[in-house]
Parts: sequence; C-alpha cells; structure tokens
Amino acid sequence: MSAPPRSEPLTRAASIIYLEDVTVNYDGFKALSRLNFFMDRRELRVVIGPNGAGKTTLLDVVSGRVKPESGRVIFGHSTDLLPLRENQIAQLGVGRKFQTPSVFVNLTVWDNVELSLRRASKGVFAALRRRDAREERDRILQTLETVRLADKADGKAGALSHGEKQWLEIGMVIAQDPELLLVDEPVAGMTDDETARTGELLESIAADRSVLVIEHDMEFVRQIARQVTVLHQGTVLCEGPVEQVQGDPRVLEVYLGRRREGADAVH
Amino acid sequence: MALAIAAVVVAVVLPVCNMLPAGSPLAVSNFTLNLFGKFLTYAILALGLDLLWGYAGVLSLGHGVFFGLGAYAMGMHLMLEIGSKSVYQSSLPDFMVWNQVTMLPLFWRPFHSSLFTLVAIVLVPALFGFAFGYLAFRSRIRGVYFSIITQALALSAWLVFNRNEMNLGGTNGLADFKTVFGMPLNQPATQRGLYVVTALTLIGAYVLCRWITLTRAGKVLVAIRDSETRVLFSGYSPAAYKLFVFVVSAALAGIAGALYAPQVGIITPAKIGVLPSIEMVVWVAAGGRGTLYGAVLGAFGVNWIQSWLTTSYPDLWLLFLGGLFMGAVLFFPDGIVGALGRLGARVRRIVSRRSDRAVSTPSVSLGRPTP
Repeated sequence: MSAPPRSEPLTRAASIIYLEDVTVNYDGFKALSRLNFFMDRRELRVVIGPNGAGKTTLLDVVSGRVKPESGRVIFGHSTDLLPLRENQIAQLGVGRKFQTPSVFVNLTVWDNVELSLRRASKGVFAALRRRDAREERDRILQTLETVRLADKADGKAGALSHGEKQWLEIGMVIAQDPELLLVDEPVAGMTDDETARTGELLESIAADRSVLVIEHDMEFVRQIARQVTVLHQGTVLCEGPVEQVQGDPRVLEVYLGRRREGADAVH
Repeated sequence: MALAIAAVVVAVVLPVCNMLPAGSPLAVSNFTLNLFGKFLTYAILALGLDLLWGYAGVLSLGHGVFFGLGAYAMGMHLMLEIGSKSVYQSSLPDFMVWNQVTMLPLFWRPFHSSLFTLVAIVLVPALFGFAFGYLAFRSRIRGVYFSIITQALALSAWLVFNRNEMNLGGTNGLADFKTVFGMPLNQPATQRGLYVVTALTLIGAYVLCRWITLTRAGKVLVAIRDSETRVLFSGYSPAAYKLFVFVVSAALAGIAGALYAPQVGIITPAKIGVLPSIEMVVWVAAGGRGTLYGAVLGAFGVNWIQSWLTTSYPDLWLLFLGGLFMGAVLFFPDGIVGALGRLGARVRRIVSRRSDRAVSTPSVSLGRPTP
C-alpha cells in the first residue's frame, strides 16, 4: 500500500485556518457540504447566513467538537486538527466563546480567568503543584481590566449580569492567549451600549490575533466587519467586503429575502 | 479552629476517656468507642465521596464496592491469621472446609503477608476504580448515566461476592477474626488502638482532600461541575480530572473498609450492594455537599441516629432514611451544614436589624411625609 500523494503546499502560507472540502453529515442532513474556507492571520472575519446554514457547525469542526465525514482542517502552517480532541485543540491556540455565556458560576471571576490562562500543561498533576507566580497574577489582572471586570474579581461569576458573563467568557478566551478566536453570536441579548463596547473589544483583540465571529445582528456586522463570508446550505455562497456582500443579489435572496418573506407572513 | 478541637476530641479525648474506670462520670464504654470507630471509617469514605460528588459533581451509587474491596482484602488477611485456631482446626478458613475446598486458592496466598495486605487495601480499590473510571469517563458517560452504571456495578459486585465459587465466604462473608497483626481483637486495648488509627486516618484523609480542593486542580473540579464543556474548551481534559478524583475516592473507600473489618468483626456482601452504596450518598447529602466537613458530620450523624433507631424503633429506620434523603433534597439541598449556615445568617441579620432600628428610629419617623 502506498501512501496517498500529498498535495504541496498544504496551505496558503499566511492562513491561520484552512478547511478543504469539509462535509458534516447529521443522519442525512448535510450541515456542511464540501465547504472550502480559509482565513488569514490577524484577520477579523464575520460569518453570516440564515438559520441552518452551518455557521455553528463550522465552529464545531474547527474546535474539534464535531468530526467531519470527509475533508481536511489545517491550523496554522500544517497542523491537522482532525485527529485531536477539543482540549488539545484549545491547547494549540484555538479559543472558543459560546453563544450562551458559559462560565464557572461557583468560582470567583478571578478563578475563572486563572483556570483559563495559557500554560504548558493543563494535566492533573501540574494543577496540583503550587501556583501564584507574580507574572500569572499580572496577566489575570490585565485580562480583567481589558473586559472591565477588575472591580468584580472576588465575586462569584454567577452573580454577574448576562452582558458581564459574556465579557468574562471573552476574557477567559483571551487569557488562553489563542492565535485564533472563534466567537459565536457575542452580542445576542446585549443592550446597545454593551453591543458597541463588545465591538470595540473584538476589534482590539483582532489587532494581534485572528478572530472568526458568527453574527446575526447586521448592524453589529457593519460595525466590526471588514471581510464577510455568507454561508448557505453548508457551503460558501459569497465572500467579500461588507458593502459588496450586502449588495449581492444572491445574498439578498437567501438571507434578506427570507426576512421579507417573514414580514409578508405577518400581514 | 472548631475542626482542630473536634479532631483532638475524637482522636485523643475519647480514647483517654475509654481508659478511665467504668464508674467514672467521663468514662466512654468499649461499646461506644467501637461504635464511634465504625462511624469514623464511614466518615473516611464520605470524604472521598464528597470530593467526587460535592466538588466534581460526579454521583457514584457504587462506592460500597470499593469499601468492600478494602474490607475483603483486610478480611482475607485476618482469616489467614486465625490459622488452625478455627472451629475445624484446619489451616484453611472455616467456610472453605465447609465448602470442601482442600487447597488455599491462589489469590488468597499473598494475603499471608501483612505488607502485601496493607498495599492491597489501597491498590485493589484504586486500580479497580481506575479501570472502571477510565472506561466510563473516556466514553464521556456522565450525569445520571454514570450514576446508573455505578449502581449496576454495585449490583453485579454484590452478586459476585455472594457466590460460594468465588471462595470469599459467600453470603456469610468473612468473620470470626481473632487477631489483627498478632494483636488479639477481643482486647479493649487492641480496639482502642484500631480506633486511634482510624481517627488519625480520618484526619489525614481530611487534610488530603482539603489540600486537593485548595489547589488549581480543586478549582478545575468545581469548574467541571459548573460547565464541563467550558473546561474542555479551556484546554483541560475533564475525563482525566474526574478519573483522578474517582481513584482517590475509591482508595479512601478501600482504606475505610479495611479499618471497618477488624473493628466490626465481619464483612459480608450485604455491605457492598446497592442499598449500602445509596446510604453512603445519603450521609453526604444530609451532611452537606461540597464542604468536606459536612460529609464527616453526615456520616457520623446519620449513623448515630441509625444505631439509636434500630435498637429503639427498628421498624422506623428505613422510613427515616428515605425521609431523610427526600427531606435533604427538598428542604436542605446543602445539608445540615448549609441549614445551620443559613440559620446563623438569619440570626445575624435579625440582630443587626434590631440594632439598626434602635439607632435610626427617630430619623425615620421624622422623614415620613404626612398624608
């Protein structure tokens, strides 16, 4: 048996994440269908699309939660993510923020960030050894200041408001010091003021990392997006700057057109 | 501070009082000391169970099995210590003579050695816990599904230990121990020594569990209870952490069982099955989860009530146990410890409100607008 010929080069030199021909099949429903997708380093990308277009599945595939039926997923220069577990992918430098805030409600805000910090080993025996290095404390404090939660550091995370929990989780993901951040609908349920601040936060993060955001809120997309990818039925419908995508007739049909249908139904 | 006082009372004062002459007002009878010794072994087990359930949120309904493994390992050594002083005056344990076994089974032989026995007490439950936990946690079996398979484990272990072919004494288990490491078990001094060893082991187990909860690993356990997915996506393997506490708790249960056997004098499959395993969970629930001392209090309190009820009102015990579990779930989800804590907080609030009112009454009545 000879090994299948490797296509060279594996990825574009500058890409942070590269998906080729990825298909995810949920009992006959193709959540992703031969999807090709890549992002450059330090890019802030927004993925939009109607419900069921495969947006969250895309994040699931990159973060290791869902294993595709076929295709390749390459992180950075040449790391194949498919054989890795979720925690291994996180340790490589892929952080994920969930749609509904997912924080440790019975731990303090400080502890939430402390557990998330990037470290060489996150194994049991490493975690039993002493901690409390000065540099570590500085990193935690700095993260808390970035997400404006420094004054609540000693309170339980369960006592935070919805918006604050969202920020705490973003802070936890920043503390992981990831090269790539996956963010699923960060402003759902936020007030306008919180939404604006979240936008600024994501843009500042994207200064030295790659950020992939899934979003429904078009106004928010216009605020933060430079490059937008539209997913439809598990494949990329079109890709480009936000103004161009908004004017694309195919996008209007599948994405905005639905909204008009919904509006018609009301009458 | 309160814990240190409790530790001194349990480990030093009680055994000293046991040495006082029977007529003295502070004397603790041999019977009482022995009973407390049994409760202390339960408390050791409850500590491990609380680490697993109260911190990591993993509910095991099968810890009787690990308790049993430790108890049987110790029991086998104690049986072999009897030697030919048994009823049938054979070098084989009585039940083997009864079952017409002519040669000591191979797996019994290493238990002649005290050292091997001491190692086996910890390692057998720990390794068994490791194998079981590895398979379960790797397959991501969690929540109620995990609890159900641990209950199935308790049931199947109970069935296996009941079988005479296992050469473990069948339904009657192992009993009639004469000596422990050469010391006669019918002497109060030996029982007192066992009691002190048990008390010190409990203190050691408490320190171990407390240390684990104070490290970053302890925070990861609480984090697993809160959001296992977040833990996973933060770069930790929840399976590895759960396996770690599962093995620690299995080892503690084994040690508890090994201290139980010589003090109570008998170990049977009845101590392994589903019901005793659930009782163990009730101790922790009644005492208060996630505090460690709550588990110790619960193990002590529930069993004290049990020994009182089963002698005074034997019919009521099971009703009480069921009521206790339901009551704990419905009204005291955080157990005795939590209920006392809330009561204390309420008293403090009332006291402080009263003193506030004493100061602020005049200004309030002045500030009220007239209708």
